[in-house]
Amino acid sequence: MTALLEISHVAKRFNGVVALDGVSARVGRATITAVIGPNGSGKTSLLNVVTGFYEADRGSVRFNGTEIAGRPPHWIARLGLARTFQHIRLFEGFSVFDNVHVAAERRGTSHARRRAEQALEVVGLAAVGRQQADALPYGHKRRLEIARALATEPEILILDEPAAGMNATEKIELGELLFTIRDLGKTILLVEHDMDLVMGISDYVIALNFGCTLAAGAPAAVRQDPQVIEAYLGRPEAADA
Amino acid sequence: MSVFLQQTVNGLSLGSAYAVFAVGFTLLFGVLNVLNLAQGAVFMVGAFTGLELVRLVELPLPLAFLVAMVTAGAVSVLTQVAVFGPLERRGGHRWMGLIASLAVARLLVAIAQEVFGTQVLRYPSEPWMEASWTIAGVQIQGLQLIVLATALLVMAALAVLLRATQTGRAIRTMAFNPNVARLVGVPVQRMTLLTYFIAGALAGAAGVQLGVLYNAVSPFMGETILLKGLTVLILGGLGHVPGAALAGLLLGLTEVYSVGYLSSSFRDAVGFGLVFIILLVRPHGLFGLTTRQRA
Repeated sequence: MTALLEISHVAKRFNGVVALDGVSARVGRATITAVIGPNGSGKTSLLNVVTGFYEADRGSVRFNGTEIAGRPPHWIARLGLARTFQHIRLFEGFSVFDNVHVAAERRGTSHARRRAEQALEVVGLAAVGRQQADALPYGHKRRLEIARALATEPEILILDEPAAGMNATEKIELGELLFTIRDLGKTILLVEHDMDLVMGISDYVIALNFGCTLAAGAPAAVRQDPQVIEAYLGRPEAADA
Repeated sequence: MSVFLQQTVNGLSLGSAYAVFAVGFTLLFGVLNVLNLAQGAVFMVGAFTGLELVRLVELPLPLAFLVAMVTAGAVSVLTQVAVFGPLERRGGHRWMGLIASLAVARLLVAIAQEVFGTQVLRYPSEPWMEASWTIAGVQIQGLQLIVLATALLVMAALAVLLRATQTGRAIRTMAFNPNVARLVGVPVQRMTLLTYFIAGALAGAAGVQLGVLYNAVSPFMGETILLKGLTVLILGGLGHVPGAALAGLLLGLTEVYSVGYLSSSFRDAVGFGLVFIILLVRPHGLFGLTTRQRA
C-alpha cells in the first residue's frame, strides 16, 4: 500500500493532559480509513493535528512526502487536504450553489461553475442549488459541507464525525456517498462513532485509546482485537450489537 | 404637499450620502465584525482631500472625488495594517480594537487640525452646483441630483462587487467564518485589507458629498456622521449592507421632515428616537434577520 498520509509518533498535550501519545498511522491512497476510539481517546485531536488546527508537540505528518506538521491550516488545505467539522460550518447566508462555487473559484476561475455543479451532483444536491444553505435539512447540510470540501479538489477528504446527528437512512446514504467519493479516486480519513457504519465502509481502521494506537488493520481484525474490545467495544457480545 | 415633496427631494439627497457612509461602516461590522469608530475621521480625510485637490491643484471635482475615495481607502488600510491588524493578532479583547479606533480617530482629527486649522472651509462653487430646476413647485438643485446619482452609482457598484464577483463572494465568506473561508482558499488577509479599503473609500466619497452639500469642511465633521453611521448600522440590522443603504436614506428623510415640520433642533432627536422605537418593535433592526445573513 502506498501511503498518501503518514503520521509518525505524533504527540500532543493540553496543559499536561495527554491527548496524543505517539500515534503513528498510514492512510493509503483511494481508501477509506476510519479512526475509532472512546470519547477523549484523541480522535479529533489527531484530525486537528493533521489539518493544522493543532500544532503537534512532536512527531511528523507527511502528505505525499511533504512534511505538513506545524503548518497553518490554509497552507495544508491548499496542498490537497480538505476537511469537514463535527459542528457543521457552512456559509449560511449563501445559496447551496454559492457555498460550493466560492470554494471551486479559489482553485482557479476556469470552469469553476462546472466544477461546483459536479461536486453538488456527487453529493446529490444539484437540484437544490438555488436554496439558501441554512434552509437545508440537517443531513443535506452535512452533504453540502462535503461538496464544498470536494470543490477544493482535495486528494484526501477528512471528515470529523460525518454521521453525527443522522438517522439510520441518512447514515446508509452517507456510506454510499463515501463509496462514490472513494471510487472517484479520493482518499477518505474519517473519525466516526457509529460502529456499524465504520465497519461497513472502511478499508482500514485505526483504534485509539488514551492517545495511543491500540490496533490498526482491516475492520474485521480490529473488531476482534481483544484490546479494542476491552477498551472500546466493551464485552464481546456488545461488539456485535 | 409641495413642502412635503420639497423635503423629500432634500431628504433623499442627504440620505443617499448618509447611506454611502453607513454602508462602508456596516460592511466592516458585517464582514469583519469590527466596529470602527475611526470611520468618521476617514470621512473627514476624504472631505479635506477632495477640497484641497479642488482648491490647490484645481482638479475638476469628479476627479477630486475619485482621488479622495482612493486616499480615504488607503488611510483606512493603513489603520488596519498599523493598528487593528497587530491588535487582532495579539488576540486581545474586541474592546481593544474599539478603543484603538477612537485613538486613531483622535489622531487623524489632530493632524487635520494642525494642517488645516479649525476654521470651516468651503468647496469653491461651480455653475452646475448652483443650477436648479423647479418642477411642480419643487426646487431641485444640480448639486442634489449629482449627490444622489453618485451615491446610487457607488452603492450599485458595491452591490455588483459583493454579489456578482469572485472577489465579492470571497469577502462575504469572511462574514460567516474566517477560518473556514481560509480553508476553502480565501486569502483572508488580502480580503480584509480590501474590505478596509472599500469601507474607507465609501467614507471618503460621503465626505466629499456632504462637504459639498453642506458647503462646510472641518476637522470635526466626522463626529456627527459617526453617530449617524451608528444609527443606520442599528436601523439597517447590524451588518446588513442593503439594509444600511435603505436605512441611510430613511434617516436622511426623517431628519429633513423633522426640520420641515417640527424644528431644526429636533433633527437628531427624531433620528435617534426612531432607532429606539424600531428596536422596540423589531429588535434586529428594519432589515436584520440573523447574524448569519450579514453582508
